[in-house]
Amino acid sequence: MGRLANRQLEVKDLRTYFFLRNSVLKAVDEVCINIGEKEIVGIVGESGSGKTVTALSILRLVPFPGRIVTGEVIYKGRNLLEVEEIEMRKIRGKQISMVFQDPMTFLNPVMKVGDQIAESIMIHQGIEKKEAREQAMRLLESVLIPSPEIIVDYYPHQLSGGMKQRILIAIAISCGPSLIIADEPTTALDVTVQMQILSMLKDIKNRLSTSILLVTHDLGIVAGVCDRAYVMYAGKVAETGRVLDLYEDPLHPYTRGLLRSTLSIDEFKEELETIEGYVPSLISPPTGCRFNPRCPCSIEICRKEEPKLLSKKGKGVACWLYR
Amino acid sequence: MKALEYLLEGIGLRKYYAIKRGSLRKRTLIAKAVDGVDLRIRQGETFALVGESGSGKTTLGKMLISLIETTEGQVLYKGKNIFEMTKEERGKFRSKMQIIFQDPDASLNPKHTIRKILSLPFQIHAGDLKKHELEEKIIGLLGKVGLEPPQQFINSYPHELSGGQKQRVGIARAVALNPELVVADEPVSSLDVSVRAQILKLMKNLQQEMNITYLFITHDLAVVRAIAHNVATMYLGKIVESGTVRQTFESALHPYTQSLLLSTPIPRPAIMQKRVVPQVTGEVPSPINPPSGCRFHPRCRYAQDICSKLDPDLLELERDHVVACHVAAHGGIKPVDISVQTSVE
Repeated sequence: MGRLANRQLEVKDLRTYFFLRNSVLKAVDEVCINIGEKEIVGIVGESGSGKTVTALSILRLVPFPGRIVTGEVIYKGRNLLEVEEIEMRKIRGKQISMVFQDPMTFLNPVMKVGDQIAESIMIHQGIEKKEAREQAMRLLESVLIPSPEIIVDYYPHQLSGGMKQRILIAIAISCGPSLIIADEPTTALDVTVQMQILSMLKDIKNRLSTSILLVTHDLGIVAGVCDRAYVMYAGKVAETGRVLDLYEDPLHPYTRGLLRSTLSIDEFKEELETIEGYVPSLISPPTGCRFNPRCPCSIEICRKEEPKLLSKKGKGVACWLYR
Repeated sequence: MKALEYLLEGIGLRKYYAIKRGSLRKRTLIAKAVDGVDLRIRQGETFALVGESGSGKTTLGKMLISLIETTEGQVLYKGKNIFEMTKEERGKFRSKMQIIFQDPDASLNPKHTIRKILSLPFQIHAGDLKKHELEEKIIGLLGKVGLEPPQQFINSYPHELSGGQKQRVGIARAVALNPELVVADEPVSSLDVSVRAQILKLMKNLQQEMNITYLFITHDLAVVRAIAHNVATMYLGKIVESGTVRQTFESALHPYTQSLLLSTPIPRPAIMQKRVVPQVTGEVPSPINPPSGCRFHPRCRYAQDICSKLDPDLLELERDHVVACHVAAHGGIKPVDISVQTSVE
């Protein structure tokens, strides 16, 4: 599980459940995640794996009826799940910022983009409006927006999807955060633009010494951008490790299946490989290992008892095959 | 595959949209969604249309099966112009051309049961089926697309199914009338990786079983490699390159196709860690005021003077492989190797 000299953020035993009228949906269950300094960490999984809820839980932004039931989020020696909300507001956007999949859920449609960047600078750093605007301009330049002196007075609808995502990134880095949480930041973009944004994220990590938690469903993106990754399935971490090890020697049958069924442009497969079945409901997940109904290697114990995440070959894997 | 056996041909297809702008909507602008496209689809093949948003791929697909009107050009079905067909011929043509949409939530009526959704094609085109005959057909269809046991699904509503299951219903509806051509518009884009492969596999099997021709519209080259025989790459309303699947992935020559290939993430860290660099600058421009000459020239690293002045024609550079690029036409562009650890300077 990678020994880290300097941990930026540590999520311990996180459980985030959604309390529905007659049932409880266990979106995130006993999840542990570490993010080191100057590290890009990926959370990869399919829909319903709990990757987004994990990211939202770190900033305590889980929407109703969701609630963090137990767990710790240790950041700079403090448990973020216990600090006052007023204190949390100073951390969000300043020390830990977020980039979302759809820029329009975040950007204000009736406010000039320059003002939106300046607003974040003014609130968190107490800087005067004029100076904040100048900083906003410099930020626009640093996220490679052409002619920032014009764009600064544009409204979001005047910009393309890629440009809006750059604005979001400009806001995210405006206060020099030590961690950026990016939830599917390129999913809505065309591939050529996606590559521009991904390379910018890598550049930000190197230039500003920021850690990045990248949430995505795309194994190709994780391969290109992340140092380490967590593979999530049905609210749990199935496997974790350095990206190179994960891809070259996947241990968990789910990771293996996911890698095998991922299509790639550099090979033609006569026979397409699939993982049979569907992602289970998290209201009544399968007993034992949550992957067991779809697992080709499942044995008796898999159906009865849940495997814990244990170290194996420098990785963490939650699977009975490796006991 | 018999040579020159074309099921569907598009000749000089154009689709222009008038857009009203200005304070009193008095200014009319023309958006050229599809601007002069020729294409030929052989019986039994999977023909992929690839491109980013705004390339006109969906518009072209819908024009070919006459779901939207064309501004200019002809569509030939087995050599016959579909705009000159009698009403009866046209009805028959329509039942032979079907479509699968990207978003099953938007294309399946939430108030209808699966039984109702799947009985509609028969009621419209097959007329007087008896009740038990209809029921048999629907059960057969559900089995065909892997929704088993059928009794479990036939009375369900779409919201009770998962994304993959809903897309199976969409496919069942498309193949209900034994179509000759199915336009599949991003059919797996909204699905998870593990389900995506299942659906593609199903589509491949149905193609063999029922001899279906697919026009497969997608932005995802990885899906193209898995399912297509021939590929056309579109950019801003035009086809810029077209060839066999092999030519597209191993010897693409148009700079746009090449940058698409190098921008597509592949799940191999050793290659990808070095490839995360912008392969091309800027974004797709608006089809209202497209760049002069070659439409890709403002973003193209090979652009020369001529590229901004003259729109290049599609030239056949090798058998079946056509490219619209001034530089490639004179041998100025080398193919890229997508499986090695290189990035373009």
